[in-house]
Amino acid sequence: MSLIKGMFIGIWNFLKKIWDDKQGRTGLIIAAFLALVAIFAPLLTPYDPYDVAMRDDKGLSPSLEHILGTSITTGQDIFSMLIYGTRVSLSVGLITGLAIAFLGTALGVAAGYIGGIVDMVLMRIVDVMIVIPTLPLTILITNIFGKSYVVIVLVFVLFGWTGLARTVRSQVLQIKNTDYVKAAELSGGSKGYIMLHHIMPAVSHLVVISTALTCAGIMIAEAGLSFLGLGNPTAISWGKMLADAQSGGSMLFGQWWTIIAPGIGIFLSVFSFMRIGLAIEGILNPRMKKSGDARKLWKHMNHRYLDEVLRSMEDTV
Amino acid sequence: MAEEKNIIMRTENLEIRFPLKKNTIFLKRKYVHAVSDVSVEIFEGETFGLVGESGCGKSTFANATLGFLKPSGGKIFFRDEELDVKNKHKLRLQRNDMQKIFQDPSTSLNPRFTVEQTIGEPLRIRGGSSRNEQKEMIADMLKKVGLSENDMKRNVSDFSGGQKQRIAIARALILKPRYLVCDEPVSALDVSVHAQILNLLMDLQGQLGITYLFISHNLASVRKLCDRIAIMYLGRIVECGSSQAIFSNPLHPYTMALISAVLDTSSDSGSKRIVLRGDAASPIDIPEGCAFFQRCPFAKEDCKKLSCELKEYEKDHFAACPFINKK
Repeated sequence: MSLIKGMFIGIWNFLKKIWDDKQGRTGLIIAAFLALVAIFAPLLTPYDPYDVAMRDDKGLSPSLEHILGTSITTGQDIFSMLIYGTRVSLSVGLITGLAIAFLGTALGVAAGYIGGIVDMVLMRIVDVMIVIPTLPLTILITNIFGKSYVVIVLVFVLFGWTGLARTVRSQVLQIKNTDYVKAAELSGGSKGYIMLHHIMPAVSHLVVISTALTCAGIMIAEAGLSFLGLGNPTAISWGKMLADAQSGGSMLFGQWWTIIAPGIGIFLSVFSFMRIGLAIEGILNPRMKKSGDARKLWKHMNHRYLDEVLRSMEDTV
Repeated sequence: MAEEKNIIMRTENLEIRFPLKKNTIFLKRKYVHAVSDVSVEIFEGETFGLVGESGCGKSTFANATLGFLKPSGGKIFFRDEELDVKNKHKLRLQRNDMQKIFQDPSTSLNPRFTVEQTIGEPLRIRGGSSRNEQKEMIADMLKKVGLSENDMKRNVSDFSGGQKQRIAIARALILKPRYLVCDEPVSALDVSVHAQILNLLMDLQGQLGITYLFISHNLASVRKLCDRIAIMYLGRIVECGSSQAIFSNPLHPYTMALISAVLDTSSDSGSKRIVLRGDAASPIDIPEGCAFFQRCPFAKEDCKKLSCELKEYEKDHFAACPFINKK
């Protein structure tokens, strides 16, 4: 029991530290706001965003009745869609981010610490994963297994763990050979002891930072996939709203708000997680703080997936 | 060294080599011969100096005596019991009496630990003492190495190099080892703190009676600290004897060259400095005869073929050169 209590105290103290950081506080506030919106979505929305059958008034301009107007293809209330979209974006981002953190750390530590054949097999798998073109495969997988969020999350996790596993592995290899691990060995420390007291603490900051940033990356990727029509067609997400606006030709009719609204949603959620990630980076790795601009950190992550999605979005538009 | 002493660490024809990567399967596998045919006895309570240029196998030898490396040949005995790397349980028991001070304290201390965590780590691993007892022992040890009790909660990375090495020494001594390897304990530190750390090591030995295996390439500090010295060249011991004997009467040409290179302020001998030419031979293809042949100022044709084994020239003073008496 005390272990769980200690863990909660640890998490609470860590959140406090993020709160003390200027960047982190912005991130936390926005993230908390988005989380509240997602949780209380039914209370905040004036209309049912799934209600597509009844309305003839497609593509209405903003009015008191519909704050952001209605969608041009199916006539749903855009404000309601926007709020419900938060749910998809946050949940997909968080669930995938945590799953990747777990899988990537476990496999990275296994490869680095056990070494030998385990290391070789895992790293060859990583190599293979890296040369596979992800987007066509994603299209294939979603066509076979159906376009649901479970499938999308699994696909993200399947292709997302490699970057973290590699980084963790290299860190583990580095720590494994340090003199202080040798000293602990000399004092009689077992493998389990060294793993728990020397290796995990050294790896944990990498994992936490990368998780915050992965969440942000996945949110964009999810929007991108939905925009390309690979998301769950029955759920409402920001990417899908953009796709609707695009296919209905909103811009032709000058309805810029149909694009700006989900855009702001995507921006805010990604922005908040990036801020939190940067704050954590500053806390756990103080030397990085000065140079911790967003672009450098983007490079830390495996952005191949995101890049590909963004590129194909450019092609489509 | 008049009275008979107990041997704490003994090696018999110890050989350690590391395989190189083979390029083709048809070639014979090559090895880096880090340590070859080393037989050494270290007595309880003495300071045994191991001197040689970098890459000659000093650290490899020391690590082997701590059970970090598996000997490719020969045996290591710790208190008459063989050190078996595979027998983890026994090795663990034997290691209870061994510790090591690493070369660079900035890498041998975990930067995430506090002083208390660092010094207390061996205690925590071994167990059998309460929190408060541990704390007392740590505070006591901190005083011994010249740090304050108030430093306990501070982070290791807050300290300077010399202080870090003091912390490392405290960690090594907290379990009261009998055999301590000091692997160039001052070479990574600022020159101004060399003497402090060496004096500390000497004081602690006086208090606790530990055996030191002191590795260094600095002859001046070796002369100050060590009772007996072995000079190593390309994985072999070329001369071994009491500190006094080696400095007053060096027998092997390599030892002579080393000693002549030490800056001697009280130079009344007027001895000329011997400058060695070239580099040491590769430890991959060690020459058949004397390994020092190419650089030896007294080299003769025969040196290429004659194998050099350690022979006793004075009492307890060994050297590996067949032409010693003829120079």
